[in-house]
Amino acid sequence: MKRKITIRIRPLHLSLLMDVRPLVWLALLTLISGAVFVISVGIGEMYIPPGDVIAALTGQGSPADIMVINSLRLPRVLTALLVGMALAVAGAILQGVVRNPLASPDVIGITGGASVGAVACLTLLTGIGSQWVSVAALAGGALTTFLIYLLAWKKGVSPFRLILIGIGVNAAAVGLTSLLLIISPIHTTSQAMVWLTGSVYASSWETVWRTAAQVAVFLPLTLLSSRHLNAQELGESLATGLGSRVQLHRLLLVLYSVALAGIAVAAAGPIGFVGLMAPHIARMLTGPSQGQLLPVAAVTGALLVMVADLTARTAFSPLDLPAGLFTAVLGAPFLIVLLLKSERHV
Amino acid sequence: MKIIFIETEVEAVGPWRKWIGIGMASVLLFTVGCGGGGAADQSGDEKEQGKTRVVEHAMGKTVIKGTPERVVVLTNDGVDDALALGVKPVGAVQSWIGDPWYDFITDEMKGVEVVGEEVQPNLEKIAALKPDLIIGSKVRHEKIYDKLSAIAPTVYSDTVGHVWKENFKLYAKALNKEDQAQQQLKEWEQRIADFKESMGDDLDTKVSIVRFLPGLVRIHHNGFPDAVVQEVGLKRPQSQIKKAHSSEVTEERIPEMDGDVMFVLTMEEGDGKATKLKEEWMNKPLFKQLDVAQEGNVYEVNDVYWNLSGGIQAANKILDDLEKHLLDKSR
Amino acid sequence: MRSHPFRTLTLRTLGLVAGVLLLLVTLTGSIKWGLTQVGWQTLLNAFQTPEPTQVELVILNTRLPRALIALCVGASLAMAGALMQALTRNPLASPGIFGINAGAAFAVVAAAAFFSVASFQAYTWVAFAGAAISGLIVYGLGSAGRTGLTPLKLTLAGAAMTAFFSTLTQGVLVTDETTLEEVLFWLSGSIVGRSLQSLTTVLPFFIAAWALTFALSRPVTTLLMGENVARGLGQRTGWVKFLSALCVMLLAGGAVAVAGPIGMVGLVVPHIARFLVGNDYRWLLPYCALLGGSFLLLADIGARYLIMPGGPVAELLAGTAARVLSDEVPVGIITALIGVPFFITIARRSVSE
Repeated sequence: MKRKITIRIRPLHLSLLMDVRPLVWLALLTLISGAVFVISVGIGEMYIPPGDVIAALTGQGSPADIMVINSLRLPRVLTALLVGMALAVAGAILQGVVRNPLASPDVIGITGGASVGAVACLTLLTGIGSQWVSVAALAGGALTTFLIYLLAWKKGVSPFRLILIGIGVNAAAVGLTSLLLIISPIHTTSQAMVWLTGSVYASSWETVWRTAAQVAVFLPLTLLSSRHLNAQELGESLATGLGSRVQLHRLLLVLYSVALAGIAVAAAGPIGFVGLMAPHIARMLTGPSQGQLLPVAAVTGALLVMVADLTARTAFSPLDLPAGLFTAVLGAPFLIVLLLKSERHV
Repeated sequence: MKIIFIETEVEAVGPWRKWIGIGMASVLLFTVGCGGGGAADQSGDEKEQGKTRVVEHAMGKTVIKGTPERVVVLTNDGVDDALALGVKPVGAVQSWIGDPWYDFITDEMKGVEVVGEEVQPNLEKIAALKPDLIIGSKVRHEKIYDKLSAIAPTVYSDTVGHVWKENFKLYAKALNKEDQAQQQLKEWEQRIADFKESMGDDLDTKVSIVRFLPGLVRIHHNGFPDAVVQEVGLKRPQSQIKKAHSSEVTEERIPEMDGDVMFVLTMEEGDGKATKLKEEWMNKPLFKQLDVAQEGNVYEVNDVYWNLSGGIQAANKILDDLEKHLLDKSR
Repeated sequence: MRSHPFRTLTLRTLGLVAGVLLLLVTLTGSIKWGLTQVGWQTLLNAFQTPEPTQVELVILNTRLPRALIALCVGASLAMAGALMQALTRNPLASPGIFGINAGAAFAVVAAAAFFSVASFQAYTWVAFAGAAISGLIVYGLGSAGRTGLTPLKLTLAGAAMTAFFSTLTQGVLVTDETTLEEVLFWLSGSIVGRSLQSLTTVLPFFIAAWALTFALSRPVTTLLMGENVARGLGQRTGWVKFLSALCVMLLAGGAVAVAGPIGMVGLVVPHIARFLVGNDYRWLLPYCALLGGSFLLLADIGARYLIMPGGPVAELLAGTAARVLSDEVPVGIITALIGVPFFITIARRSVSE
């Protein structure tokens, strides 16, 4: 028998029965993330030792260190962290709702739709502020999901249909994005291409605060709803038996997932495969229960994107590559292993 | 790594922003004019070294102390102009083609640190150089202005390309080299006046500008070479007078390439693609039928001077080519 | 079994004749319509005159090659799609959806960037290899596990591989000095500006694959009745499957080599053909060839007019910050946008069944 502990939050009528193992993993991963964070902030063109990084973070380092860390590295690393969390949780929810381990916001077209919105904003309305790009990305993602949901509706939404329709809608989104790139001014095209691969290059504190605020709203909401996710994963008939109003909760959860994916895309472009990988890694570590899965997945996602960006900006210096490139390189072999191993879920 | 999107269009901004742009440009001209007057007694004065100046530019006002000595330049035209003014940057983005610099600046750029490329410069490299002035362009680097400003005083031009002269003046002001700039612009005006005089009636020659890139062909309307050709007083074929920077064309538009003379630019990146495309097109029956081709008035010119470099040195080299090919003819 | 409009032999033959006519009409249209105005008389003269005028040169050197390329690529993609649908028993199968196009495209971009491959012959082989590899991966992944080959698994594996390959392609474009815009156009699938030579390089492979595909039409129809039935009738199903896969690779890889990844043709056309004649591949395949050619010819005409200088869309966009620098959109964008509603309809139907 595994050791378990129970966490009760009475006012919310929420109780979580947690294994000790996931908690250990969560603590361990958080520790690793913290270390990667400090290293990531320290490494670059100018190496700053971890001690000095911590000194600078607490406001005591040399002014040069503080400048480099505060204006160049910190916003970037923090954006990577937040984006990773958002994408991972978005993916975990989708996989739960759709009951398919391959579902992730990039496969079923949510990020594709968000990209159309953002690229349309970048190309058709040059000169408007970057905050509108994220609004457009969110709107694009939401609209696309609504469309997918609508098209997949046939006396309820079957997960299979949702995925297939999503793939189709994604194809249309890719077409539209290319069209927009082709009719855009030349200099925006190259900017949009960098963005489309997923990059945290120009993240500012503004990006960080905005993303942090958005994540702070949706992450707790998702954690609260995660018990419905447990029911969802049992399958439709069983879930109904448990008294879960399946379609409603499914819709709500999908909405959270869209919001989180949209937030991530708005901040850093479509960084691929994080929404796919992070929940799986988390599931391997913790077992299937969503209550434990989500936090672990979030930390894993943050770790993935931070490492990817660290590699992307240091490995080919002076070139500063998009982080999305490296998540894809990691993601593909992962996907293959996944498909070969997971026959029960598909 | 090189990406070819070095051209920009001023029309890409909405009408309201155009007015702001014009307003800004006039403020700029005004400040340049005023600065020019005061600059005469400023040059070489040791006491002036510590004096602060306020430079107004595309992103606002920037205070610069004395004559900057560690300059990082993030645009190709900025490098061209800085070298023309006798300023060797400590860091610069690599040239669009060349490894890492254009041939004509390689000697002067020896020892200059590469800080990535114009479309996405490496911020940490820039910071590591500890510059005292950064020159960039809003069209390329708008998003990173705050970060650059945190590193050093930063001055942006609005765009690059056909506005090369305004940019030259702006960069000169930022570099505290306005005297030299005045002098060079005076020489430039003189060259144009001489050219116009020598050309006489032939000044209404219609100049067609065609550019071959790897995989695509452009007819030019309103970029850097077009600005120079227009300034020296030459004419363009009617179909090439457009507000857009250029048109990417299919073979069906070869007839629009016709003119009294044609200058062919080839952006060869070293893999032979653009050259191959140029040869393919220039051997097409449709191209050979053009009047300009039949009369042998097609001249191939260096893309680095005609388009890529985009500063005052390049402008002078375009004028060299125009003199070489057109003046001989009119004699 | 649903009923099909063309049930009898006579009707089917008549339909075939109509298909040929449709192909001729779209072919002529593709040569006649475009930026340069072409009159009927000029059109006829172009093929006879020894000294062509400017317009006649446009016809001979620009319009004719691209029309022929559209025809061959369209026919090939449609046939590849039909074969894949039979092979995987998946109505959603097609080179685009299964990541075969994306794999071939990535192979070509990577070969150009990392190994300085420049000759068109080499591109062709690389495209074949890319198509084969991604096809095998998707098929392998889709059929892995206890449940075997399911439409959903295959489609997902394809979508995932497409996502993977396109990110890699974008990455190569960002890291390499390849000209972004050139490749961008090609990556969306485009047949503009291709010389006739690029078609002639691939044409032998196309012809071989077409011949083999038609030869396979009877065994494939048998195979559709079920593997056991086919074996019972003495068919060596392994060979049929292998040869079909070979055809798919040649057809899809060749199409990518000539025109870049053009999606949805392989999905849409076989379904139209199936609606007309049913699942008998002896009829379905010729219909696919004819309709596929016509479909891409039509889409290509659309690609010319969508953002034509001075056209309505160009005028509309003139008010925004967008600058229409090119005269045309890649035809792949048109096919994608036409194809998606089809895909969705089929997906809705196939899941509920």
